[in-house]
Amino acid sequence: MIPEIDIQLAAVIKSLSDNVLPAVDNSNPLAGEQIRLCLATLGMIKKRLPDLHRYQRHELELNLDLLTSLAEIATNAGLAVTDLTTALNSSRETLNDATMGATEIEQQVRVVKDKAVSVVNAARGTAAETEVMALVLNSQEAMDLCRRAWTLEMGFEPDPSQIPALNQLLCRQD
Amino acid sequence: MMASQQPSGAPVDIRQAPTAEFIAELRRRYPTEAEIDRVLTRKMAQRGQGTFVPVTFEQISQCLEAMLHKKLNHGFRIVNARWMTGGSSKLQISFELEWQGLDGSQARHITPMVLRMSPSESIVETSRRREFQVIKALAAQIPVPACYWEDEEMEFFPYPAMVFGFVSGVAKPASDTSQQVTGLGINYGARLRTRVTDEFMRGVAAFHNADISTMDLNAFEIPKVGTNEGVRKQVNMWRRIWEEDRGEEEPLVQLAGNWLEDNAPVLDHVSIVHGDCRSGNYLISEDDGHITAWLDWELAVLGDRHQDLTWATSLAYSHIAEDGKTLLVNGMLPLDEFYAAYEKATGLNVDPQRINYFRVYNAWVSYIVCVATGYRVAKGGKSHQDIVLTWLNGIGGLLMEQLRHNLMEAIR
Repeated sequence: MIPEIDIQLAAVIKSLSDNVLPAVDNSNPLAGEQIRLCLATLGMIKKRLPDLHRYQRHELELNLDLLTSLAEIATNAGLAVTDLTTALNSSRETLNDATMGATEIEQQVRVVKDKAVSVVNAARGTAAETEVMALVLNSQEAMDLCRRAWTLEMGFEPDPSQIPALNQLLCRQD
Repeated sequence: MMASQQPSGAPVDIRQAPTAEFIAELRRRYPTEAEIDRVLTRKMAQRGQGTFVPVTFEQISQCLEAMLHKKLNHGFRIVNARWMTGGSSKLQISFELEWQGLDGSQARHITPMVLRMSPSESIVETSRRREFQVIKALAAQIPVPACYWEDEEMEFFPYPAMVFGFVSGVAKPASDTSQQVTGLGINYGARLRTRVTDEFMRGVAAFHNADISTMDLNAFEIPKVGTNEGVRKQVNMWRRIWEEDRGEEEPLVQLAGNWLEDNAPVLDHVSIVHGDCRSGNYLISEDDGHITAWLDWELAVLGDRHQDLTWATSLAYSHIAEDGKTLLVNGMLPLDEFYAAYEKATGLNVDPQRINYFRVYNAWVSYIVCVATGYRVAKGGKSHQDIVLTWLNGIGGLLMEQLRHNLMEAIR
């Protein structure tokens, strides 16, 4: 058994809170501000770490949905975008492969986003531009909601009650 | 421009150690103002040279001493130097200078001052020279800190720096207990609100109507009225920063950038635009609410006043009034009343179409700053505030949703 990351993080937070924070010099406001922010960051990591893999898979799924629709528009409009099919296929393979870890999934999300941007740029000034714009704008909402749920406790949301729980968003409903 | 592959299969992050070709290509694709081009090019050229090494008091004191020895022809003494906190961008140290004034003709006296120095990279990479010039130019019109010296060329300091006068006052009154990282949504309270609002409008009127032909602003380019060249250069600047700093592409950021380029409005009047014009960026007296100093001019440009109006009226800097239902923009007035007060104070009209344009622009810029540059600076360990920047990164989802919403409103 390797050391449990959750317990390690809890121990770091406890050590910093109980022993380091009280020893920080009150006359050094930068140090005081930063130790508190370090503790808040560690607390957030501890809470979100168990959801990371599921979140990244969900992010890839949402981006793949967008790229699939963009690819259809690109094909119908005759837009020249290279390697679209390759990006779609490698993304599906990534999702179907249980051995894919966080880094590989993150990398695949970037491949998909790069291709989506290629379609956006290829459509600029063509008859397909309005359709592409509407699709990107409509697809973005679900992605934004997930990010906002992930970072909810960071205190940026004007009305946190409007953000669904992360678990609820990560349960894909096809 | 394509990233090559490392042996492990992970792509090389060209932005982390940019080549001369990469830098040259971005400069070619996104032409912008000469001074901005110089600052951004310097940032990229230095990026591969390692992380930010904290600068100690002793080092700062030595740099300051060296600069003052060169600038002053009389004896002086630096006392009570200490770090200042707040903000997520520049290193700031307050100190007191015992001296005889700039030309040595005054009796020996003490002046409180602030040294403001960039880290090796900052969440907004800006010119201390532009900041210095615009503050100096406005000194006769609005309360701003006295400007003493700038060291944009790093003759004395390890990074670009400037020294200005310390001004007393608070960004938010003690009665406001909101706990955000920066001055978001400040509540001035019923007692101070009217005075702060009046002074804000007077201040904005002064710099939006300033006669720039009489000012020394040679680090700025003056955009031509009747064209959209100025705002297109600004869009180019942020597109370049996005390309320099981003961790990954975002279709909506690209889409918005294209839209902003294709729909850049024609300029009807050249204003000094603060660039981050909102509560938190001026100090007030807690006694009576008068504005003691307008701060944070690093994003100032010569351009369209609506850019400032949309910052000031952003939802992020609004709050609900004591009646529990009225939204006060910039902690001041309901939106329509805010615009009416602005038009009365400035004699300049508020154009709803430009407001819509700059709402998209500002949301887009905010996203680039917090998500692209914030990410890149922290990834390289480039500032003293990396932990703050990674925290600010968390606002990305909200900013993206604002961008989406504002763009939908603009194209409707």
